[in-house]
Amino acid sequence: MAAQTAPQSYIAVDIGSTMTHIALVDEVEGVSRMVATAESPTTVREPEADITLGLRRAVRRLQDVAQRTLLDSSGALVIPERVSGAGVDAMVAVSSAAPPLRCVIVGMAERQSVESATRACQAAGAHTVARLPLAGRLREWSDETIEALILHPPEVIVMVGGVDAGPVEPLLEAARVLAILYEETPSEMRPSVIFAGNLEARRPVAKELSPVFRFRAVDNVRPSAQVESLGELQAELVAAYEEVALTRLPGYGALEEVCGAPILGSQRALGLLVQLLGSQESQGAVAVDVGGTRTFAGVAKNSQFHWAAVADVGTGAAASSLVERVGPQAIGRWLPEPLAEDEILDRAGSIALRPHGIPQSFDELFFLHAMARASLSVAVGAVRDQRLGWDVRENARRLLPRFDLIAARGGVLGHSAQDGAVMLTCLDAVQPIGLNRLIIDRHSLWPQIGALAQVSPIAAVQLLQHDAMHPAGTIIAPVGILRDGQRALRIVVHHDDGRVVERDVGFGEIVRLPLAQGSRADIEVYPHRRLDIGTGRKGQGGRARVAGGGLGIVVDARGRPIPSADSTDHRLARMRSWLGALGFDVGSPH
Amino acid sequence: MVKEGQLVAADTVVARAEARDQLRVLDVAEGLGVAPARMTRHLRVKPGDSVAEGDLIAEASKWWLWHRRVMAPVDGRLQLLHGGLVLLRTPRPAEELTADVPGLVQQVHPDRGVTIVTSAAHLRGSWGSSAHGTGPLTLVHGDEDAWLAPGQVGPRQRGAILVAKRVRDPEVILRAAACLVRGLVVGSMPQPLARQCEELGLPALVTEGFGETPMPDIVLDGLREFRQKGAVLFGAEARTGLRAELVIPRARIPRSALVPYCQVSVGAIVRVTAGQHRGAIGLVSEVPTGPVRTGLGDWVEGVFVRVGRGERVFAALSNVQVLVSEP
Repeated sequence: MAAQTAPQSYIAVDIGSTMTHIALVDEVEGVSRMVATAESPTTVREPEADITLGLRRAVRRLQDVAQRTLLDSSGALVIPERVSGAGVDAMVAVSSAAPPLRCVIVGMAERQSVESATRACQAAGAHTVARLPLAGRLREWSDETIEALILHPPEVIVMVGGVDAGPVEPLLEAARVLAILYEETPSEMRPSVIFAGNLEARRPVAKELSPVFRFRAVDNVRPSAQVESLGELQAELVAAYEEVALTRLPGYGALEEVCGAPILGSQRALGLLVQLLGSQESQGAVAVDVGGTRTFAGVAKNSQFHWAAVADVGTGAAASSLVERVGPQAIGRWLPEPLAEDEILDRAGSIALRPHGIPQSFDELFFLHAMARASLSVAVGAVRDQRLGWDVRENARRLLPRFDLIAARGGVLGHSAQDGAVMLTCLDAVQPIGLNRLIIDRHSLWPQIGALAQVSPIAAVQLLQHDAMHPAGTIIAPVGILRDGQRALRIVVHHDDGRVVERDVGFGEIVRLPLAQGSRADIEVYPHRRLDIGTGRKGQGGRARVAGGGLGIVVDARGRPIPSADSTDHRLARMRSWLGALGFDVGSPH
Repeated sequence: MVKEGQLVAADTVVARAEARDQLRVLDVAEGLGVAPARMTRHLRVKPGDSVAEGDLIAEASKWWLWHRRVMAPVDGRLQLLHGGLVLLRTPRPAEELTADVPGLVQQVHPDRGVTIVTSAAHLRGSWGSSAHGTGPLTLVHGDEDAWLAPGQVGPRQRGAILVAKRVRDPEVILRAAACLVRGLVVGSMPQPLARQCEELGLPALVTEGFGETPMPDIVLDGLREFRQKGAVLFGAEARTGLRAELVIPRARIPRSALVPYCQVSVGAIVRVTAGQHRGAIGLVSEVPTGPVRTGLGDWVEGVFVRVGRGERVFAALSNVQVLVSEP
């Protein structure tokens, strides 16, 4: 029997809610490399309503770009690769094209378990359509409750309540009511139930519910009043998204048949990649992904991984719901020109109507980036709210802890040729501290790499290292607040070619010092005595060897947290100067 | 309710769906003032029994001090819940789906609906409310800036689907809903008005988007050919992503024909949907063979379009919408 050779060539697919991105991966001189990429609008909605149509269009484009036959005469993908070089050995796919899971939370007490479960649902990208607290004399089985549960059934019911070893009967009562309410509903329309409450109640509740529902039990979200544990519930919700929501995508069956591995949810795949990136950095990594309908933020540090993927927050079809959630002001504050609230609403609405459009003016670009900041603020906030026990000082200031690497992706962040816009958006939304590097997923590869890692870890790592990380630059961001214009720090850059550049940076400024991609330099930084550049001590200087990138070295001396402006004029002037520092000539209104 | 090959009229019922029972929870223990665990001894009907509105479900009394009763608020079938609660299940009337357009049933989709083939003119909106309306098309000219004014909407427009270039006054929406206008088709409206249409259940369709862009003359001229003809405004469906559509059955196809997805070629009339010339209608003058660098530095595939007074602009392919394909 002939030995089967391992796959060498792949088509890696990411079917998003707006666009389908594909990449052709093949071995080049023994190393897995990206050969070509293509994209096409996702065809999940009517009148096409078949995700494989958009995928096939993207593959046809990929054929043209790569000058390689990938489809046979009937339009089917050629798998495995032929001796002639046509086709590929395998296809791997991820998707986030399904709408968010609709969840109802049934809990013991409004403030504690239900709040924790709500945070977990939000972080997992699920929609909480109703919260039903059950507490003592409160009878919450009202007509509205019934409507939420039965007439518009959720996909998942999350049952929470009680610390471990607490009372069992209220949960059992709720379980019995749920079983009776759904017993006449066709089984395929019944929700799944995830129990994340009192450990003592797990078995009796399972006995009541598992004959009627698909039932899973995970760790209590509140094992005690002081402890919150959301990870297992989040993970279970992601699994439910893959099993329930993704499998309902029109054309899913055909896609699964072609792929060599189960289709992962994009956030799971991206999470795998973020953990890999974080494991390679001493201070860990933070990753952000701004999509059309969902925004992700993930933090991998000290072997821990925390993440949030907030649904209905994004810069495409979710633009209107984003503005509804955060308010027009949260967008307007990031624009270099004043814009009336009505116009912000209309622009966001128009973007939501045509999510495939791309910006063709600086005006449109800045608007999209303003929405990206607002989206990221929500997602990063959701990660921070997970009570992760990070440094108390940073928690108090609503900052993330120090990381070495910021990884950014998503339509408005990944597809722009303007590194400066992406850099400023990440600086504003993530507010990194100390010394960091920013990398960008220019080719929309990261979720696919996460999926590829399941099939061929080596190919995934090689692809990541060689083709998937566009270095935007090195960031230096001190923590603390001074008066505007006060000298914040002095930086000395020793280039490898012998040049030495020395620069004082005033508080409130952003300064860019060129250092080309592929180059390295030694830097010395001497901060003001009231500023900390990430050493943990105010006023303490530091040395480092840094890498170049599209923007080189960027010193963000605006302080942390970034102070608000005193007035609209002040805000506009500052925005323009920051944009100018990063390569934009905003100047007078245009 | 129909078969493949059957001719149907607009009001033919093509499908019927049994609706799920309406459920009503009664807190009988609370109503009687008794402990939940003791509620069942006060029931005067058995689980599974059918009751009519006003029937006695449970009663309790304490000597001569008090006497309490719980009556059925609606007809239904009784089921015990837990903790002193009972459930009443009331069957709902079946829901019916009508054809809305005359035509031939091409395909029956079990448990979903039917596909009807009809000859019609068809306009798909960029946004629409979820409500559904039918009526004759009535064009309204608006004021000198083409805004539809409240004074132009009144009882005389009852039952009609109004077509105008644009609207911005919330009073127009209120009057349209109050006067039973059956639909509104405009070039644009501010987003708060779109929300208002949805809340009031007013069928509405917008061709350009949110804001102030008027309906292009080329679209308005096409609709003018069908004034006073019966039309159907199909609402948007959030679940399937179908956009709102205006259908004028048994109509000759006008010169303006919306092409959903096709290769753009020289001579096509397109609408530019982004950039400095957003909303402009023009003629494709050149289709470059490869990507072009935009003012933002991005390399994108697109077309050159002559707009306005012959100005030549570049638009990314994802930022154009074809209105008329090349002759």
